[in-house]
Amino acid sequence: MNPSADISVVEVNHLSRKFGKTEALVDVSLKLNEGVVYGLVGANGAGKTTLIKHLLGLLRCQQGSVRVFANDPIKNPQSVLSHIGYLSEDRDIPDWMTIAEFCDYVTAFHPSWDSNYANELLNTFELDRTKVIKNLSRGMRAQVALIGAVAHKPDLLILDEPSSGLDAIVRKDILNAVVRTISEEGRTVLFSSHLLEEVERLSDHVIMIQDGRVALDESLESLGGSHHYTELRFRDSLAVFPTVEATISTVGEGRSWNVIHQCSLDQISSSIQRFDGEVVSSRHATLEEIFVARVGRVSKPEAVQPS
Amino acid sequence: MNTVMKPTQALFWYCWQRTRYAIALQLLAAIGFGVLFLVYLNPEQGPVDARGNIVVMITLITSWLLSAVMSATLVQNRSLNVGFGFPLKSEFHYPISTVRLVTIALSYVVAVSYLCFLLPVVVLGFLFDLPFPHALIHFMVFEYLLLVLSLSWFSNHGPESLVATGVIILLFYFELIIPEFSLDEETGAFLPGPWSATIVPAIIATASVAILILGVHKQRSGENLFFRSGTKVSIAESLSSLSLFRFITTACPTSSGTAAMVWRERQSRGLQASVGIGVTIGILVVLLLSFLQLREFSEVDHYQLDTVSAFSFIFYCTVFVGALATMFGIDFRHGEARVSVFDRTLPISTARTVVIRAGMAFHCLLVAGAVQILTIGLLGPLMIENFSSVRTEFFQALQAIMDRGFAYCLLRLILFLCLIYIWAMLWAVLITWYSMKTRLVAWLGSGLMIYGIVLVTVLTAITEGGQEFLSLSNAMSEFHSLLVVAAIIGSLVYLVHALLKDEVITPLQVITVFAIGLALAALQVIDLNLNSDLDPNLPALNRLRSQVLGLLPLTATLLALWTQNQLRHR
Repeated sequence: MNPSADISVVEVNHLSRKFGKTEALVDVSLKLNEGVVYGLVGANGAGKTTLIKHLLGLLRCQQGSVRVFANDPIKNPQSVLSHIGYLSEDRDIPDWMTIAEFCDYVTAFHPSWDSNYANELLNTFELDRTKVIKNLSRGMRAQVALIGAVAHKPDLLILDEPSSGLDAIVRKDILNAVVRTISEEGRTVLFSSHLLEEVERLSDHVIMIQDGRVALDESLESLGGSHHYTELRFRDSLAVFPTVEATISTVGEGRSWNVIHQCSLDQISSSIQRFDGEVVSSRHATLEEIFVARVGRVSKPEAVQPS
Repeated sequence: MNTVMKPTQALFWYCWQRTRYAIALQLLAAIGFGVLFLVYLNPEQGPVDARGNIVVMITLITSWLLSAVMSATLVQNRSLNVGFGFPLKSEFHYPISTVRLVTIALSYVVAVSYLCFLLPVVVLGFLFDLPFPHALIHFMVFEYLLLVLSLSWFSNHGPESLVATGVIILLFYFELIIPEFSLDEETGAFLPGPWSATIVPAIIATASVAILILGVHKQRSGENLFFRSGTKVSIAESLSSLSLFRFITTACPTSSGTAAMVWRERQSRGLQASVGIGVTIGILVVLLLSFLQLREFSEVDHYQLDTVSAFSFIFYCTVFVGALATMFGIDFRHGEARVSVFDRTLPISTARTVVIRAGMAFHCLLVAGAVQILTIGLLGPLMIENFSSVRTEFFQALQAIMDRGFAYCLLRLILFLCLIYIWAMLWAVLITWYSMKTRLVAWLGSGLMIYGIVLVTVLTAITEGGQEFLSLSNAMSEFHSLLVVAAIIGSLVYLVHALLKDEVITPLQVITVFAIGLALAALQVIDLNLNSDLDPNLPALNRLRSQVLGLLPLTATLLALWTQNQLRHR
């Protein structure tokens, strides 16, 4: 993949959204560049789907602005949506149509529809074109919805939890189709998922949403380089982990502690020497470890000063 | 919920939570309409019994029509019953017996529906000193509820429900469902037949409940009661297999999004649906009129055009509901109204979507209406005595209009279409917002009803009835119509601003829409003057008020655009 870092497909500036008294999005600003695969991660209710809905114009901005292909999705939905392929979390497609009718129906709205690609996917997924969608299984329905989202070769593909509730085979089929879309030059993909292995496998860039705020917006490469999982040992037993700069989360008790930190090994090593500690081992943290460290319920470092 | 409830309590609690606002609105509507009707039609006139019967009719029609209209179901609330099939389907996986599940749902809806009949009758009877309805009427209400609910719940299989409907119509036609009764011609008193005549209807109602239990039991395991599970009978597909009906099913066009959306709308509101609805309703009207003649009610020995038109119109209201309930693309899933995300993310402009959807709905209304008239005209002579006099009256009325010249006919036709269009758009908007924001609309509706009741009560209290009451109520009517005029003008300003802000329509389109709207308003003014409906001695304000109402087509159009835009972008 060859990201064209200068061309923004999506620009979100200071976007905020409330549902009643609940703040779903708080001052979110981000850019999605052309040709990059973005993984959108966050806990349930963090605001991922709300953000996606703003990009599609399904929700209007209460504060801030959203531009997709330099257009306001509220004021110019036709232009914006003609460039987007969208797979919703609940695979919301007209279920009274047959698969063939559904494909024809989507074709009418997207002149760029690639019939060969659609047929190829239908054959790969072994879908019977004459079947009515409401009689399909959940997995087959997801496959049909995916064809509707990718076969017109969208410039921006948005997938909201594409693997949710699917078995391993269908998940693999869907990921392969996504990979193929990605492989085509210049296509941008934004997909939210709880399966962080998937995100890690496909993404160039990770956006982490926490409590409606962007907690992390970093390329996967730099994320892996900057976050470490380190095992520490102290001379004396500790009731709580001491305050160490750049430490995101700690797990452990007594003399042995494991920490996720966003600094170099040398920095953490010199920091813990003040508490008579030493590094036992260290490696790059996985996305799942970073995610759990940032949004999970593991203990955060507490304020304990060196003796 | 602070305490742990038993399953039965929990289910009743669930039903109550989902329906309470609809029930409140329904009760207030029935009482409100009853009060307004009785007050404005001179409560001193007519025998007490006749007025009592009118109250019963108003209550029944309001309760059931409102349920049907507002909820697009036969019962209380869309959440409780979405279309056909048993309403508490999501409770099928709970450890609860089918008999108990059916009993809970049935008893709740029957009790609530009966309450929506009884309470207004009692309140109106108390206010206007009317007799309490005879016990046989209460029996008939229960029987009707059991039959209708059983019919709509026992199966979610289309052909099976259709067959059951046919059986019920036949039973109705052969007088096996309605117990014997008549009305006194002079006093309008309800004259019940012997109680022994209720045995057969009671047995049929009981049998329908048994069928309901069996049907739900089958539904629970994914089966149907009579038809084999998995058999799908598509009427359109069956007809299209005959070369004569090839036009019915066509492939989805891929040439443009507009063509595809028109195709899609045609599936639900297209020619075949409209013709089917028109024929069905026409047959029902003829059957009902024929049945009433069979029952030998003295006043229906010789039908007048007015009577046939009134029956036709009441039945035609159901077309309005059917064609318009989902005009803006709402559907119901798990008891909640929603607009499909797929539809909202189709790359087609909101304005174009509205034009296509409104066009198809309008077309459906017109075709269904025309087919309904045609069906009545064709079947009437076969099943209704003296139908030729009705037909003669109809053609005479038509001739009277034609005699006034082509320009006049054209004007009347345009204004008639405008009227249907206004009602269609306003109904579609109302039903849509009621479905999407049930609580809010229920509160607003209840507030309006309470306001109406309080107003009439105050007017009655401060006047001594008669002329004084009438003049004061006329003054109030004029004041309220001025409020409507102000609301029309205010909403036009707001809607244009909102639509331009979201770029739903361009300034040029606004000018075009306004030009058409003003032209229609001008036609309305011409019509008022031509027909001398607009008294030249009227004060300027009243003259203006009548003319501003001509802006309604424009307001309805902008309201439809705004509604679709609000549904698309929340």
